[in-house]
Parts: sequence; structure tokens; C-alpha cells
Amino acid sequence: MTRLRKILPLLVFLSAAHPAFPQHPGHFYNVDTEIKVEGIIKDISLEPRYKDRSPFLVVTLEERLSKDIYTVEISPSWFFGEDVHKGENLEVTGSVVSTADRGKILIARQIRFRGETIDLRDRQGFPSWRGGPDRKGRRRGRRI
Amino acid sequence: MKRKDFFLFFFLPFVGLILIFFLASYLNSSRIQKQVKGVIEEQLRASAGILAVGISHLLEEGRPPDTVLGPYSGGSGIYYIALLDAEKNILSWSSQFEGYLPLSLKDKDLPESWTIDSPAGKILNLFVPFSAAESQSYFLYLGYSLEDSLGVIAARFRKSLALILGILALAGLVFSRGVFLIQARYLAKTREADAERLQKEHYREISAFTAGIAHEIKNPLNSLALLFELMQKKGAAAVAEDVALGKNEVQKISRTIDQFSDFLKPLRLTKEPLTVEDLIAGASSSLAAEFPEKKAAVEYSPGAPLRLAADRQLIVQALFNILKNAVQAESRNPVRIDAEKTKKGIKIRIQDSGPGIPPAVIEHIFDPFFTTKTGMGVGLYLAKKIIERHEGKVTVESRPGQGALFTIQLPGG
Repeated sequence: MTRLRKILPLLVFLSAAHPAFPQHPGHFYNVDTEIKVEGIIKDISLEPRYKDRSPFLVVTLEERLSKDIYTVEISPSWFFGEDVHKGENLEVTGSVVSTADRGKILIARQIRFRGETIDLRDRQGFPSWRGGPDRKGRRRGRRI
Repeated sequence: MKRKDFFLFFFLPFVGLILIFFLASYLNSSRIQKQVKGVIEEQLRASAGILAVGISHLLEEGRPPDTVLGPYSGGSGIYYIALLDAEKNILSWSSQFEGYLPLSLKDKDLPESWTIDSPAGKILNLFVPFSAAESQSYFLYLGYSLEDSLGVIAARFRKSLALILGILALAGLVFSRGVFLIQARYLAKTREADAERLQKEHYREISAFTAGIAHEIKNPLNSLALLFELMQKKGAAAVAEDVALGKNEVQKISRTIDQFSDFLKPLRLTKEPLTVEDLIAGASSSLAAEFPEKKAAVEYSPGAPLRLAADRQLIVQALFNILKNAVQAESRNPVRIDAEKTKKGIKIRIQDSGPGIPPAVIEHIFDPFFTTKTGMGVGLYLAKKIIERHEGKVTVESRPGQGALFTIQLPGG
């Protein structure tokens, strides 16, 4: 009874919380499906992702050898401060999600681009642009 | 005790005590934090169980799995939440951080709870099995933020610790200050007592020396007095006058030595009930007899009677000696006297408006045989001796050109 009284405010809050946003069940950074892909950028777009917080930079990548097409989610556009062009080479490490309607989606954790390595998430998939104790969402992650 | 010693013996141990307390609290804090974390985890597990019940009800109502997490996603303290089927396929999920769901299903036997470190702080992961409609099995995966709960408790702990340390430090400072003041007071009294003891020893030496001299002089003087007596009876008439003069001088010396001896003898008090007014009147009349040319040497307005038990003759003598000293310093204005009752007894103040007493003189003014005028220099010494014998105190203050103020404190009133 005492325990219930303690958590009652939490339950009341939860019942009044925001409604759910539609998510593809597998569309999350799955650490078990991490792969590395190297290919050519075929298309670049800004698309809403994850509760429409801010438009994401999304590139269409054609794998160099297999010619497989991946939709690569990079990061919110404000976080990724580089100009990307079609035809450029890109190496992506990330979690792959196979969907029936949009093919293979690759959620990027780290990319290698023009000789630079840019960290977009940590090894568990925590997004670098969401800050943390010592990085308050600033444009970070680049290392050579 | 010197300041340095005080610091070493009182202040440093106290600071050490505070440091030990701080260290103990600091070392103990991790244990407390662990216990608190355990309690929080237990509470969160319980709430996760209740969430699972809520979700199972929604599933039983026929809600599709991808919508059942809606009411629970984005809640305070829940970083992410996911619903899995019996084969551990994710049916629905929600996360406060874009796509962040740090669940690895490579290990088939997932624990019920585990904690991970993330840039957003520590997260308690819970994996709760439950069943819903038609006994279908599900799993609820939850990530609770431990930072909020632990942060609040840690902040409270730090606040309490700071408060206790502050109170301890304040108490320590007050205690140290108190000890220091008591020590300083004790030292001052010890120094005063030492000075008084040395002065008494000095006076005793003088008294013993003077008593010895008086005794040695008195014997030949007695012989001389007898010789003059015989010469008066048997001597020639031509020298009778000279012999009488000689006898007179010898008797004068003898009387002076007797006076000396009287000063040196311990005082014996015969106390009787008196009033301060009587004593001042007695001393004033003696003064008038000594200085007949000064018609109004003393100015005193008696108030309510102030009573005390004292040896009348001796106290009148002491007052007379002090008044005489004041009157000798003051030629035009009368010496002012006032008396009042205080907490410690009776205070009599004798103020003259003479030239004042130089600092070099004032520190010896009550010494025996110290004088800047004619006379033996025992008047004020005797006054002090009489007053102290009555368990009183006499002090003098003076500034050049502003006269002198003698303050006598006597028990009574």
C-alpha cells in the first residue's frame, strides 16, 4: 500500500503523458545489427525523423561492391555541419534496419568522409547531438 | 598558554575532528548511495510491474501492440520503453533520444535489471515478463533515469553535510573563542596574583628590614634617654637646658620609631556598624584640624545612608590620608567626594582638580616610604593596607592637568 502510494504520482503523470508517435518497430539503433558499409552518395535529402524534432540529413548510399542501396540516417541537419555532395565516397558504421517499404535503412553511428571520422552516436547508439554531462548538444564528434 | 600553543592544543584537534567527520561521511556516502540506489531500483521495479499490468489490460482490450505504449512513453524518468513478444521481437518502442534503445538480444538470458552508463547519466534497465490475453507472453523493456532520484538524494546529502559541517565549525569557533577568553582571563589573573605576591614579598622584606633597624636603634635610644635622665638629676645647672633639649630630641626619635613599628605591625580590626557619612565626617574634621587655613577643603553631599561594618578608627585614618594627599595637591578648589552603592559594595570617589600625578609616580604611589613631598611617604601605603585589610580595593587614575581620582571599593551597602 505504501509502495503504491509512492508511485501513484508517477502513474498519474504517465497517464497524462504525450501520445505515442508512430515508429517502425525495428527502427531504432539496434546494437546487434551493426555493420560497416562503404559506397557512393546517390541522393541527399532532409526528412523528418523521430517525433519530428528537426529534419534529419538522409543520404542514399550505393554500396561499392554489391551495389545495394541504403538509406543512411546521418543526424539532425544542424548537427552535421558539412556540405555533402552526390557522387562523394562515404563509409558508414551503423545499425541496419530492413524494412519492406523503404528497403535497408542504416542508422549511422560513425562516418568516414573526406578523410575525416565523425562520431554521431556512442557505441550503444546514444545520439551525440543530445548532449550529456559534458557536451550540451553542441556540434561535436569530428576527429581526423 | 601562548597563541601558538592554543592553536596546537585546541584549534587543530577541532579542525582534525571536523576533517575526520568529513572523511567518514565521504567514505560512508558511497555505501549510503548504494543502499539508496537499491531502494530506488526496488521502487522502479514495482512501478514497472504496475506498468506491465496496465499494458496487459490494454492488450486484453484488443489494442494493437504498436499503440499500447502511447500513454506511457515520454513519462518523467522513463528514457525508453519497448514491448517485446515471447520470441523477443520488438513490437513497439519509444525513446526520448532519437533511436536510442540500448537492448542487445544476443544474450538469450537477459537479467531482470541492469544499469548502464550513458551520456545522459546512469540508466536502470528493466526487463519484465508479463502475460496478457489468451495467456500470451510479453516482455516490457524499460530504461529509467537514475540521475534524477540519485541527484536529488545526493544534493540533499551534500546540503545536510554542509549544514552539519557549518554548525560544527561555528560551534568550534565559539568553543575555541570561549576557551581562549577563559584562558586569557585566567592568565591575566595569574599575572595579577603574581605581581601582588611579589609586591607583598617586597613589602615583607622592607618591613622585616625596617623592624630590625627600629629594634637596633630603639635599644641605644633607651640607654641615651636614661643617660639624659641621670644628667638632668646629677648634672651641672649650666648644661641643664641643653640636656633637656637632648632628652626631648631623643624622645622625638623614639616616638618616630614607635610610629614606624606601628605601621609595620599587622592590622587588627575591630569592626562595628557604621555609615559612610560618619566616616567621611570623621576624616573631614581631622583634615580641618590639620589644615585650619582651609575653611572648605572637602565638598560632600550625603545621600541615602550607606552602611558597612568596619574599624572606624582605621578607615577614618585611611580616608584622612587620601584626603590629605588630595588637599595638598589642590590649593584653590575643594576636594570632591561622592559615595554610592554598587553591586560589589560601596564605592567612594575622591577627586581633586590639582595638576595630576605623573605616570612615573602613579605606579609607585602606594609603595611604602615613597613620597614626592616632605614626610615619610607611608600615608597612602597605610591607606591601601587598611582598605585591603577590610577586603576592599583602592585605585588611582590621573591625567596630567586633570587632577587625580582615588576610588575606594569597600564591602557593604
